[in-house]
Amino acid sequence: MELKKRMKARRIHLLLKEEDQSLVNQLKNVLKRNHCDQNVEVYCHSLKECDKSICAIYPDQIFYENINENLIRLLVEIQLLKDNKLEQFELKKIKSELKDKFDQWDNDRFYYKQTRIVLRNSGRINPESIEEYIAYDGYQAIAKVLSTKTPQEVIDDIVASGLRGRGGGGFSTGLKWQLAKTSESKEKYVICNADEGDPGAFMDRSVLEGDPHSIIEAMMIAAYAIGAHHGYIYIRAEYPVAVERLEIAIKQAKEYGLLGKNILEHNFNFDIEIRLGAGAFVCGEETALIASIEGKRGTPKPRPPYPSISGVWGKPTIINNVETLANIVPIILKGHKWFRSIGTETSPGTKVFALGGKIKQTGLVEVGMGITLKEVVYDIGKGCPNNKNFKAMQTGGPSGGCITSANLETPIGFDELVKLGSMMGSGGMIILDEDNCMVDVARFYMDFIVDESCGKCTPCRIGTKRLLEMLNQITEGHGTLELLDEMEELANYIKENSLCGLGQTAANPFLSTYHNFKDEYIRHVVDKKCDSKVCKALLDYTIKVDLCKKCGICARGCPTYAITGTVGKDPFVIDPELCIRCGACVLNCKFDAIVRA
Amino acid sequence: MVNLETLKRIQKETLNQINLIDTEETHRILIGMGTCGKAAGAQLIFDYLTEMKHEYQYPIQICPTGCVGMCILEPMVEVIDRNGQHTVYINVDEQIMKEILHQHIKQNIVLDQYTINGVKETYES
Amino acid sequence: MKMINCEINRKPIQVKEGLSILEACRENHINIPTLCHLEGCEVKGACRICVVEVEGKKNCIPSCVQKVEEGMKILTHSKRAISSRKMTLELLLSNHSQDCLSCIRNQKCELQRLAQELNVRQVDQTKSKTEVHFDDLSNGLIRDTSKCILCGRCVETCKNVQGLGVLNFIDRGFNTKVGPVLNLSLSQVNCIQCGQCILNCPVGALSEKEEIHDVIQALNDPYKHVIVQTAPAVRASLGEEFGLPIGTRVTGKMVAALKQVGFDRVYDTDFAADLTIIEEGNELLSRLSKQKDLPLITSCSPGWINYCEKEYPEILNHLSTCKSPHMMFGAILKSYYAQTKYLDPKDVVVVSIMPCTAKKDEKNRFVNSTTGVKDVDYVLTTRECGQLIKLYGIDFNHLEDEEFDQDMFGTSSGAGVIFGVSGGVMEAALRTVYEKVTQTTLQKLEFEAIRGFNTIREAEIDLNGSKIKVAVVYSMKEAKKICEDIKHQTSPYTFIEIMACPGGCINGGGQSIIDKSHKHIALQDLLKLRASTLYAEDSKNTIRKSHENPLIQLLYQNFLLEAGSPLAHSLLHTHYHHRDKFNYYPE
Repeated sequence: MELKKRMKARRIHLLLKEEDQSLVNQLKNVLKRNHCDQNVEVYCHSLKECDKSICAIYPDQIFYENINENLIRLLVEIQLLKDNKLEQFELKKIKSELKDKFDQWDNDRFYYKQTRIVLRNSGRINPESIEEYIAYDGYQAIAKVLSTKTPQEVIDDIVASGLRGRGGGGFSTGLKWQLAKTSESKEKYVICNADEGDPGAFMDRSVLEGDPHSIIEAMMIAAYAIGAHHGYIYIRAEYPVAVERLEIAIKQAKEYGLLGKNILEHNFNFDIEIRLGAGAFVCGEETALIASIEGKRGTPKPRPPYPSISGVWGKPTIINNVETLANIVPIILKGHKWFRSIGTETSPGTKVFALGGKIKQTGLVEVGMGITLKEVVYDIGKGCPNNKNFKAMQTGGPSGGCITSANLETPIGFDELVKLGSMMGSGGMIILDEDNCMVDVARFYMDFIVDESCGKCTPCRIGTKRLLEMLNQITEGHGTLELLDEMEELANYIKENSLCGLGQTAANPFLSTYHNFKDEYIRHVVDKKCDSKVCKALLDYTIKVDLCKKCGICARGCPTYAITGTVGKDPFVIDPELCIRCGACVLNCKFDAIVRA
Repeated sequence: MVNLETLKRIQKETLNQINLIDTEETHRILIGMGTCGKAAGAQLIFDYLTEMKHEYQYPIQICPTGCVGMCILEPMVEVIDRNGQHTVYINVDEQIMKEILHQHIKQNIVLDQYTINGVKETYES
Repeated sequence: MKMINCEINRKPIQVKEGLSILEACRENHINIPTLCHLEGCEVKGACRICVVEVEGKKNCIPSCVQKVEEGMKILTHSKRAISSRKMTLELLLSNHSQDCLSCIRNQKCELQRLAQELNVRQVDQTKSKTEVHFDDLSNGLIRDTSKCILCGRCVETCKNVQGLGVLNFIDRGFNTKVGPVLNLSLSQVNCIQCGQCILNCPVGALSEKEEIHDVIQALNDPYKHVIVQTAPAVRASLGEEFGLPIGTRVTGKMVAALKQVGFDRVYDTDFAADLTIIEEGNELLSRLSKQKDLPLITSCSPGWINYCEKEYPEILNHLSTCKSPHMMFGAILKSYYAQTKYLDPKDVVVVSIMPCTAKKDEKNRFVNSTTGVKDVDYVLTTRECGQLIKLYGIDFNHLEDEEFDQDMFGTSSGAGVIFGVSGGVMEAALRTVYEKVTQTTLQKLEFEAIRGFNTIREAEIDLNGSKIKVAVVYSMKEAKKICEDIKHQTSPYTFIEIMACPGGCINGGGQSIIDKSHKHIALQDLLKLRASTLYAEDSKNTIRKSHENPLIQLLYQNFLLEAGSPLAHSLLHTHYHHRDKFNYYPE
């Protein structure tokens, strides 16, 4: 184990021929066998003209060629563990272009397997400078649209690109615009939904903080396409930096005449107004958002009529998520064929995910659709820290569901995730490991939903509260098998009878954890045990007699005087009736004599 | 009021600025100032740099930028030189920034140990 | 009108385009239960009781929202539809007060009816309930959130009908409640006590403050002389409390029942209505001659008075100083009547049966300075009257008609009866004023131009050459426009009748409540039914003008001397003052 501590962190870059692809797994297995997998990162690359397989070790910049099983074993045992070069396999003279390629791959390894379209300018430009945005082709798309395309042609482009809403619904953006364009009205509106209420999601925030002008430009293009002259950005008040950046961006755009009347000397007027949210998750839902902008109570309205026909102030409105809008400018500039070439047939383009939870590399990743979940978790996210095992992944926030390790090979796409019983949602991805209790996770999300329910319809207002109470019952040790059946019935009822999307997906956390981890629920309910040791009421603290040194420290630190014994004579014992499972005794015991089970 | 021509002109001028062509500044310094960066303390670094530039006329372009996605490595500072060489420093504080100014900016010595390619023990938090 | 083909419960049906599934089913006699649905208001789709199954849709669809589409296949009572409705109701009941037995809406509650219809046999009472607020600080209304099912019908009513928006949703999720801003008491905000919200509340969350037991106590007190007077609108609605059709005329039975209950005298407020006409007519003529404080506005609707005092105090000088009829009657009873019968005014108890909840507030306004006591002691709504009669075990439907007590105040004109309908006060006043000014007899007593049920009706009356424009208005939403005009001195009218309740007193906040989800009757039809009773009573009456009422003439001769006399003024007139819209003083 000391060896592990001394070993430096290394990156191995593999450039493999087609037939050698299986060596990747072999390498990973050997690393695991030698307990090096936590310190070594493996990256696979491919080149069109690749005639031999090369392996590069960074940061040492040592190159090996003719990779085979034997070399892999030696690589790990001798090069990595003992720091001795394998002279005979070394590629001494490497072509400079190839070396440059490896250098670039290593430099960009944090963007491994990522395709940055939405986040193209984040981290590259100063978001408070419109000039820098213009430097990287800013406002060229609207110029192109205004001078060379009719509104219908713009919509045709978006439809052809296959762009689907990135806010969670996955509805065809082009179709949404088309419906609004067809609705007859002099007044139409474009709304950008920057409410981003999902806990753990911060993709929209990053786009707004890093590249606000791309959203403004996209809204202009949308307005031109459907015939609107006024736009709203509905942004949650909990994003002060984003609000500030947007205000600066709008001001600058106005100064340059890119917002207002006769934009770019064309007969096109457009203006944008920022509206702040006030802390309601439900206002991310389209009709509730519209009600909020109109100054009314933020509750959803039954649909039909859809916002494309009758939206804010009763006029045709399109509401698009920030991420969806961030894709518009590249589609216009590079064409819909280019967009189609990324991602899958039914879900073209990329998706930004906010990786969080029990994963080493937390943060934002933007990947092309079609990449498998496994690659996102292990290759990009680098797996779970502290040597823990992956248990489940929650996608789509509280409206989504959990995906187990059995389904990790699934390629990412809107329809694929729905088939798994989850959904893409806004892009929040929370990784859970073996120390997470799935019942507790369901309870956590249910708590959030109960707090955020608007209260208009009966199933969501009262039904979710009852479901939460039942989950609490289980985590407190009073669950029964009949209760589980009742909960499933109630959850299905909530799903089928709620008024809006929030309510219809409110029971998903429970349903999906129940279907995928039924035995965990049964263990909680029948055996009254929580194997992940999370549900406090289900834990029993016992002092192991053979390890107890009768020192009495635990008894002195117990807040409820639940531990009795005699110092030096009788071993100490915990009374389960008085024990409140605070865990103070475990912390105090110097001999690891107290176990939680 | 701009038209397409003006846009193209601004584009050309700004690109030259960004790529440090014919500029007084020798280096372009990008500081991650998204909420993640600010929460990690990037504002102090930004203020420090601004002060240094005004007091000692360091020939640097200070550019706040957004989130690149590796939020655990914030505050991140990227130094770009005239030749287009990018160096990304991670977990920067005022002390490290000072060293970067003195060594990298003044003397073009890259401080490997603070960069993203630097040797680290493990990834664990 | 385009017809659409669809299938309801496996039967092919044709419906008009644009109908919702609910409307289509009702047309075809299929009963889908509803709760939050209210005719004339925006469809909410909130309660989810009306859900049905539609082939091809994976979720249950609310039938009040979804319009019928070509080829739609609807199942209204499938297993899933019924079980969903039942579950919704069970959830509502689990968060509801269980005091059915002692609730004012016991047996008249839509939730109770639904629970029976949907065969609910188990309600979980162990679960947590939303925090309860009980507000009985105002004079006329009680608000009890433990019974509220958040249907939002009262919110819509106060917002759309009165334009006041006193009641609204507060907080969110499970903690949602309905109430005034900051969850204050109705007495602390600009509520006008009109009670329209009670008429639309399906349960007992909103109700009137009952005074039945005070009345019974007075009846049982041997030293008290208890007199009851009934408003004209009551006789058109009281029968509904006993299962009779809407608008059945029950004047005779009502009198008989009250006599059986044991009141010392049963009088008709219509008499006082005639008195009001004399006084107000006189007031109008006086203002016309002085051309001051015109237009004159009627003052017999206390809901309207509350509104004027709180929202438009600057035009208070336009209000008629006349008290409302029942208050006038109370004043006369405690002075003239008490004197004549050698009774101490303190021992005379006047009970008014009114279609109104605001009058409960009105009677508390002042103590009469002349008599030293309140004009009216207790006000009972039509509903409370029904309760009282039932409490005394009287078989209402089999009573023989009886007449009001004939002594002193036993005659009233047809003009007095029509006070209960919107436009009635104006018509009654015009009948008298016209004859007084022109000194000719009116050929046609019915002023058709101001009859009907539009929110505003106007007419031009030729008074001996000078034309005056009159207007009749109901609901505060409409009244606001009138007030604004008067405030900016752009009003073209000389005389305006304003009633707080839509259609007038016949649809007052104290009238019999109709189960809106069960009996689907449009407002216009309801008003027509009840109004026709009053108009019929008017046309059958031998005396149809207030000034021709011989007992009124006698009252003036023997007591008041003349209209507007100092005595008349001190007894029968009142004054108004500016009142704060909100009296809430945070610490």
